[in-house]
Amino acid sequence: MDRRSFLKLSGVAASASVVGACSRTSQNVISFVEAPNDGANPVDGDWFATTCRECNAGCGVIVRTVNGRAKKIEGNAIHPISRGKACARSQAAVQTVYHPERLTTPMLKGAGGFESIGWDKAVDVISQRFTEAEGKLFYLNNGANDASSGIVNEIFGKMDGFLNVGNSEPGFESLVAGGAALADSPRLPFPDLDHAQFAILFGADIFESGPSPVFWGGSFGECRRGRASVRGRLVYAGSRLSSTAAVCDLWLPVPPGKLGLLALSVAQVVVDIIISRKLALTIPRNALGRWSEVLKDYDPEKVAAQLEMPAEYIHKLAIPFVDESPSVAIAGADVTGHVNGVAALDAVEFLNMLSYEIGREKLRIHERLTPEPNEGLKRRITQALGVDHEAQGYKRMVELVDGMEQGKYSMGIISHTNPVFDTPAGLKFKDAMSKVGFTVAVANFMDETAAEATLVLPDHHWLEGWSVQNPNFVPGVPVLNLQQPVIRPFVDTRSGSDIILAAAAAAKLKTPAASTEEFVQGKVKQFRAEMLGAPAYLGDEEFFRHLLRNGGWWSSEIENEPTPTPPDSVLWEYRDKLKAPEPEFDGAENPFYLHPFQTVHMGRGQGANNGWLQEAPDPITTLMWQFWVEMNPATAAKLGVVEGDMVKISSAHGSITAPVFPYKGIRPDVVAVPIGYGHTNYGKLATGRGENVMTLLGAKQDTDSGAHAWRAQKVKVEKAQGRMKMLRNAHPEGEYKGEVFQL
Amino acid sequence: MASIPSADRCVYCHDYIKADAPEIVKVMDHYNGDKPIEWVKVFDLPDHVWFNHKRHIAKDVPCQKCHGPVETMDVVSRTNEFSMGFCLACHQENEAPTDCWTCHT
Ligand code: SF4
Repeated sequence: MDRRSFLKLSGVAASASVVGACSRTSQNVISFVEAPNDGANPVDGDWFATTCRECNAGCGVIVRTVNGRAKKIEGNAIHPISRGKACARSQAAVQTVYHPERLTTPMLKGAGGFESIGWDKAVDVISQRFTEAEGKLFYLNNGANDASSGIVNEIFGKMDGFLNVGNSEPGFESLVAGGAALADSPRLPFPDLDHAQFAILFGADIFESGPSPVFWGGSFGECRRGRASVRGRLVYAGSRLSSTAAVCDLWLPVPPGKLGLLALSVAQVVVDIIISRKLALTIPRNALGRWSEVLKDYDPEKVAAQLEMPAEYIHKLAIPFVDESPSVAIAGADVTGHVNGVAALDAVEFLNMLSYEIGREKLRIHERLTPEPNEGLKRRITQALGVDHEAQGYKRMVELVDGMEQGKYSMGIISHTNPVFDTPAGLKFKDAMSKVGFTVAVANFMDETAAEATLVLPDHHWLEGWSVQNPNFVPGVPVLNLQQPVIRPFVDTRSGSDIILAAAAAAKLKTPAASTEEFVQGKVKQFRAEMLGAPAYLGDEEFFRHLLRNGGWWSSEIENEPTPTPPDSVLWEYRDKLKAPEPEFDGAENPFYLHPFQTVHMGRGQGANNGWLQEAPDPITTLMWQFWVEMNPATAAKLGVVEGDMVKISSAHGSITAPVFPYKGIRPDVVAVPIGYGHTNYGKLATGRGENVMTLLGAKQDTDSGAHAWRAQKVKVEKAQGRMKMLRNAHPEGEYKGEVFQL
Repeated sequence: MASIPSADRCVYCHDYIKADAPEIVKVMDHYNGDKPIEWVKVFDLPDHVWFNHKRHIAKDVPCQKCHGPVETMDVVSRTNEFSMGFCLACHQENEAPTDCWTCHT
C-alpha cells in the first residue's frame, strides 16, 4: 500500500456555518485536494489490516476506509487472537479518531498553565531534557510490548538509572506467576476452553477483562456451539454474577478470597476419584496416595462451612470435572484481586494438570490449534520490543513510585496510560509524579495524567500511525502484529515515537532508526529468517508489504499439546504450593467487601469519553451514561434504600457516592462498583460522570507476585442524600420483570 | 450520504474543458495551492436521520424529486425543504415504510 505522508488537509471535515441562500443552518464540507491513494472503490471502500490498540490483547482487525475515512472496524479472520472478531471498544475506536476533543498541538506547561508550542520547539525541549537526564528517566506505558517501548528501550535501555514500566491490567503478574512451576517457563495460563466439555471459571471474567476478551469469547463460542453433539458446560464460582458468569450454567457465590480453597477442595475429590477409578496415566499409583494425603484437609466436609455452601456442591463440581473430561479450570479477576491470588492460581493449575492426566488416559484431550509455539523466538521478540513480563505490573509501579519519591528520575515519558486515574489511591501516584522535574505525556486526549505532565504530545490515533506489537497472549506463541496507518492523520498530530527518535537524534544519542516506520520494517527484517512459513522468494520490501496485508506474522497453526505432566519428583515439589492462605483485607473492620470490576465498555476508564461506549447498555444492568453500585436486594432493604437512592461508600482512603442498583447476582456482604467512571479531566462526556472507585482502594499486594490486590478492600456503606433516575434499557432479570412487556 | 470528490477529480477534465471560466480558475487555484475547498453543503440532513441513496436509486426515484432540477442550475440551490413532512409525503405516496425507525435508528 501507499505511504501516508502528512496530512494535506483534514478530509471531509464539516464545520457549522450559516448559508445565506437558505434560512437553515447548513454546513461547509471540506474535501481532499488529492484523493487518498487507498483504493479505487469510493462507495464500498477498501479494507486494511492492522492491530487494535484499545487494550493490550493484540487483536488483529481490518478497517474499512472510504475516501480516506475510517468507517468500520471488524476482526481479522486469519488472525490467531481475534479470529475474525472484535469487541465493542475496538468497534467504537473510529469515534475517537474524529472526536472533537482530540489534542491537536503540543503543549508545554508554563506559569499560566499549558501553552501551545510548535512541533519543532517540542523536539528541542525534549532533546535538551534527554541530554540533562543522562539516562535518569523512566518510560511508562500500559504494558504494551510495541515499537514505542522498543525504541525507547534501544535508546536508553543500557543507561544506568533507566526504568521501563508497564501499568498493565490488574492481576497480570499473578497470572504469569501462578502455576509457573507446572509449565516450562513463566507464562499466562492457556487452558483449552475450545474443546472442553466442562469448565470451572474461578472468578474468571474472561469476556470483560483479563488478557484477551475477544480470544476467550471465541473460545466460549467453540465450547458451546463448535461441536455437533457436545454443548460445553460452564460453572462460575465467584462473589458476583458478572457478564461472563451470566452465560454459564451455574453460579456459586463463594466468599471473597476463598476461591483457592474451593479449587483445592475440588482437587481433593478429583484425586480420590482418580485413585478409585485408576484413571491416572503418568502419575504412579503410590504417588497418588501421597497426593491424597496432602489434600486431605480440603475434604469438602471440612471446608464447606468456610465456603458457605453445602459439601455436595463441591462434589457437583468435581464429579463432572472427571466424567465430562476434557475439562478445564480458568482463574481470573476474583482470584488475582486478592492477596492469596497466586496461591489460588497454583491450585487451579494443579486442577488443570489433573484434567490433562485424565484426558490423556482416555484419549479425550483435543489439542488446541494455535500457531506453532516457539518460546525462544517469543522471548527474543519481547526483548527487542522493550517492556517485558518483568517490567509489567504493579510491583514495578511501586518501584517507580518509590524512585520518583526519592528523586531518582529527572524525567519521565508516560505513553497512553492514565495512572493518576487508574491506580489505587494507596499508591499515591500523583504525589510521586509531581516530584519528577519534567514529564512528557504521549496521548490522544487530555486526561488526569496528561494534565499533571509538563509537556503533552498529541500522538497519532492507532489508525493513523505505525507500530509493531508483540501481544502477551497467546503464551509461548510468537505473534508479530503490525499496525499501519490506514488513514491519513486527521489533525496535526505526530507519532510519539517519531518525536522521541527526533529528540534523541538531536541530543546526539544513538537511535535505532530514523522513523517508527523504519524501526517497524527493521524488526520484520531482523526476525524474518526465523519466521516459519515466510515466503523466501520475496524481497524484504515485498515481504513487509505481504505482512501488512495479513496484519502481521504468525506461523501456520498446529495442534498444540497441553503442557505434559512433570515427572513425579518435580511434581512432588509442587505440594508446598498447594495451600489456601486466609485472605487479608484493607479496612477489615468494615462490614462490606468492595468488588470493583471492569466493564467491557469502560475498560480501565479509557472508554469513558466515547459516546458510543457510554450509549451501549451495560450487559448486566443495561444502564447507559451512568454510574452505579450493585448490592443484593436484601442488603438494600437493610440499608433502607431502593433503586436510584444514593449511598456513600467509604474506606480509610476516600469516599464516593453512587446510586443503588439492587441485583440478585451478588452476595449480600459484597458491593460492586464499575471501574472507569468519575473522571475529573477527560473531556465533557467522561468528566463528572460518576465517581472513581480507585480512590477507595489501599495498596495491598499479592503476597507472592506483588500484584495489586484490588479486591482486598472492605468498606462502609451508608444511605446518603438524594436519588437518581436509573436509565436502564431493560430489567436485569429479563423481560418478564421489566416494565415493558410485549406480547 | 454521498461523499465529496477530491479537487484532483475536477482537474482531470477541467484542465482541458473551460479552463478559463472564473469558477474553474478558483478550483484550479485551490488545487495548485494545495488548499482544500470549503464546499457549501446545500443538501443536508440532521444527524438523527439515517438516509441511504442506494435504496432510493434502486426504486428509480428520480434525483430531481429531492434535489430539484439540478441539471438546469448554474449554482445549485435547495428547492425542497428537507423536513420530515417532505420525506413522509413521498413515502406514503409510494407505500414506502413510515415506521419511525425506518429513518431514525
Ligand atoms: S480485546 Fe482489546 S485488542 Fe481486542 S478488540 Fe477489544 S480492545 Fe481491541
